[in-house]
Amino acid sequence: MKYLKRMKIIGFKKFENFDINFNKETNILVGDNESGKSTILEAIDIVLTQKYRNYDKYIVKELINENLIKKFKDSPKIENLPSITIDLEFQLDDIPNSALYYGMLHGFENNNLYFGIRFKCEIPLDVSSELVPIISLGQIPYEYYQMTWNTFQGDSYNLIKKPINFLLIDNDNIDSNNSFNYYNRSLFTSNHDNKLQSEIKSKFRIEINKAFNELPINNVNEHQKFGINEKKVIFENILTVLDDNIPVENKGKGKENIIKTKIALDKKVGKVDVLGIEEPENHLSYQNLKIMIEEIKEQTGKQLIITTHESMIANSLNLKNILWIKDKKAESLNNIPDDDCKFFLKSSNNNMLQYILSKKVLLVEGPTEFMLIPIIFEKLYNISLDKAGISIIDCGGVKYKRYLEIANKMNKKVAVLTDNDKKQSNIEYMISYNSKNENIKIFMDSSLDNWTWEACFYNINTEKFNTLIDIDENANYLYHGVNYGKVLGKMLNNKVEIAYQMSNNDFDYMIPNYIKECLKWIKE
Amino acid sequence: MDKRVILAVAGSGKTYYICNNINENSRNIIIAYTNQNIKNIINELTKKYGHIPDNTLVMTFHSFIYKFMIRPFDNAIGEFYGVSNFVSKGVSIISPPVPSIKLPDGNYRKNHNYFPISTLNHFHKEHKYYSDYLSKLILRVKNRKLSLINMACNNLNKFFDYIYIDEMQDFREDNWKLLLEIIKRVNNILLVGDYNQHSVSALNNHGIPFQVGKKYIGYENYKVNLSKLGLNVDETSLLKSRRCSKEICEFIQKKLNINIESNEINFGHIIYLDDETEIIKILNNDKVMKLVWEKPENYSFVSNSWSYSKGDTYENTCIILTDKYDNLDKDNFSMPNSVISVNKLYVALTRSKGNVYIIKKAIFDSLNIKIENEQIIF
Repeated sequence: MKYLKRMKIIGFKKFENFDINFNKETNILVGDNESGKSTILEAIDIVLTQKYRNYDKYIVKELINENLIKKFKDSPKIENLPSITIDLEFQLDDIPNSALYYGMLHGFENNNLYFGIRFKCEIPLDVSSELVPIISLGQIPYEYYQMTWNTFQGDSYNLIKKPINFLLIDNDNIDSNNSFNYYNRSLFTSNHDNKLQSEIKSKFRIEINKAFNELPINNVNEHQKFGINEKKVIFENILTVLDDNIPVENKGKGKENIIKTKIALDKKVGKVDVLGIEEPENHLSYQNLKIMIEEIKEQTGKQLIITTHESMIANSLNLKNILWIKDKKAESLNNIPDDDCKFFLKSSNNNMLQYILSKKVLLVEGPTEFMLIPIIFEKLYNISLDKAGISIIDCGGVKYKRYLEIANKMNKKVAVLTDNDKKQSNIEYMISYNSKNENIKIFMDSSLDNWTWEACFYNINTEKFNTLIDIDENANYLYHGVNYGKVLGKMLNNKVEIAYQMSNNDFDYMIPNYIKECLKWIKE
Repeated sequence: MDKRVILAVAGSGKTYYICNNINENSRNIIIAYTNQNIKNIINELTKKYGHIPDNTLVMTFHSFIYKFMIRPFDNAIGEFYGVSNFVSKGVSIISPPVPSIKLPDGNYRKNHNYFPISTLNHFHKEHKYYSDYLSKLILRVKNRKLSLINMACNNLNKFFDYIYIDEMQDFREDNWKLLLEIIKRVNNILLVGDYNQHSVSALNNHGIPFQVGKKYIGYENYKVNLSKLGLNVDETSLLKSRRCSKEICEFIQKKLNINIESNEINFGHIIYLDDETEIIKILNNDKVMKLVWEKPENYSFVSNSWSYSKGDTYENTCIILTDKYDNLDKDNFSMPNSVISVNKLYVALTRSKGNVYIIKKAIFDSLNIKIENEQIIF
């Protein structure tokens, strides 16, 4: 199987120096907005399909990392001229034709041999030495930049002998005609060998001329007649893909992406080795997204690299496959225990990505806490949770321990706010857990009398709740068959409604200590 | 492991044998010394399989060692010589500079273009390696930490199941030393060559494995040396010439003491020419290739030199002898001392599918002027 193994990006767009190791099969790239998820797909595209090869040199300005430009401007010297290097390592079969890609011309471990292609965009040294007057003024002579593609062996990379077929389904709306055509072309070339392609194109040219000549078109005059401008009927430019006889690009972006993905995944069609998909959720309804994910899950033998913000995708394609894009590297979540992955695979509605991407997380066990904690926090610290960089996540019935397993592997700060449920064993568990963990702490009230959120609040704000809450004297307000008194009983039976009432008033309740401690710790 | 050498005779179909014995599904590389041979191999493969099998490569020796044994390791080679980020840009066929240049007055002066062997510049010019030094380079890049020959052979074993070497008798000196190291390290290799065609080319015609110092070691010692390398020496598979007739082979056995047999597919004769009219007829017959000792371009008739005809097949040939061979037709003929000259005559005698006409030097010389005069007529 051919697949991408890793990539090192230096000086390209967002990345000053970045490393990513790919999973053999599925890769879910996640990260904050602007973290560079799609830049990674673009980098692969540049290396393998030589994107920008025929662009005007001025594009270089948009591609080079801004930090490197700044460093150069601060100290304008030849050796500080910004440049781009992308090393893409892949796995190929050990056949003679692959040897061309196998060598030491890369930025990975020195003098080790790997398969791969190196892209460079730089001013060659002999050229730059002539540009000293311009360079020393702090100007970057973009028009002198050269783009080169070399195999790790040192041979120049020739697109005709593509070692790996990469197909990118992106969200490029700017020039959708063009991008679609690129897709059609890739599909066409990956589906026909070089010889067949030439045959088809040549036959097409001959036939179209023949057909034209048979038309009843009058000559211009004795010497001149109408003919076909062959430059305008280039075979690749008029290609489209028909889905039930309707051009796919006429079907709307969402449908278009589904069909494209379907085609790309089809074993019978494809010599596609690596499929890149950019944020499929942008153009797909939730239902269509689910259909697409199912299609993806069924495929084998192709490497998938997908960028997304959507937790459902991450969960369904297995959390282990997540690559979390950070400044310098992509962190793999492949050490999440299998059991937990399976668990989240089933529960597709949650905030897993938010959880993974946040540095500080407050885990709560229900909608009451989810609604009130932000208010309490702001009351205490005059700053919102968001601004303090803390995410609050409602486990929504899922045991918080599942979440903690994942946090354990990721070095993030997590506070769990929970109830002791009237069990001494829960309190003991908390004490023992907290003594063993630095970055993850569990907070609950240590008295069995304060066994739940509502009880905690009621016990220290009894008067307030007694006036706030109307009770029906004839009602029993039993909670799980137990009588906790009428007011607390009503609170327990109407948790969300009470929380809503509490949130509506100016929040001047006494706050239980374990909540204060919890918020103080997570804020630190 | 299968390491074999087949000692073949001229016209026995060495190329044909290799091309028909490869496993189409294996990863093979077929290496030959000259571009002409490469063409022959490609033709033969195409004849047999309709195309070159997917995982089979055909390459000249220099291209092979550059692409598989040098270029992948440029970085390590550079570091070995203290040059960082060295990237080569190919191979140059120009001759490397010599250390000193002889002046008209007989004195020598240092050549400023020459770099000592301890530097990387010795081996390349403007990032192009000298083709003459490729083998030497591979053998020299070796220290406690790194051995280029080991790395390079690992590379060969990674990408190939079988290595085939055609015309092995053309490997001399460093190239032969390199070949020895390759033979030791690779899994499967088949070498095919004709002992009696060594030293025939203009280049690569001295030194090991056929000479120790200036002395030729002879066929028997050569064979023993090959066995010592762990090669199975096969003298029978390609003993019979498909090209030459029984009469021609027997003639070669008798006169040159070279063991060559005929497959008896063709039935050509050895024909001495001494009649002037006959000779002129043959010289002007374009279907008969004339083989002269050297400088074929000096003759107006269709001709080639003995050594350059190596590898070629003609319908009929006409050999113009040198004076060393003027009594070739006599029973008391004894071979000249020059191994090179004997091997060249062997090459010339084995080119024809049909007849081999022979003209003695003395007779040819006496006609020479006339021929030039009569050129216009014919």
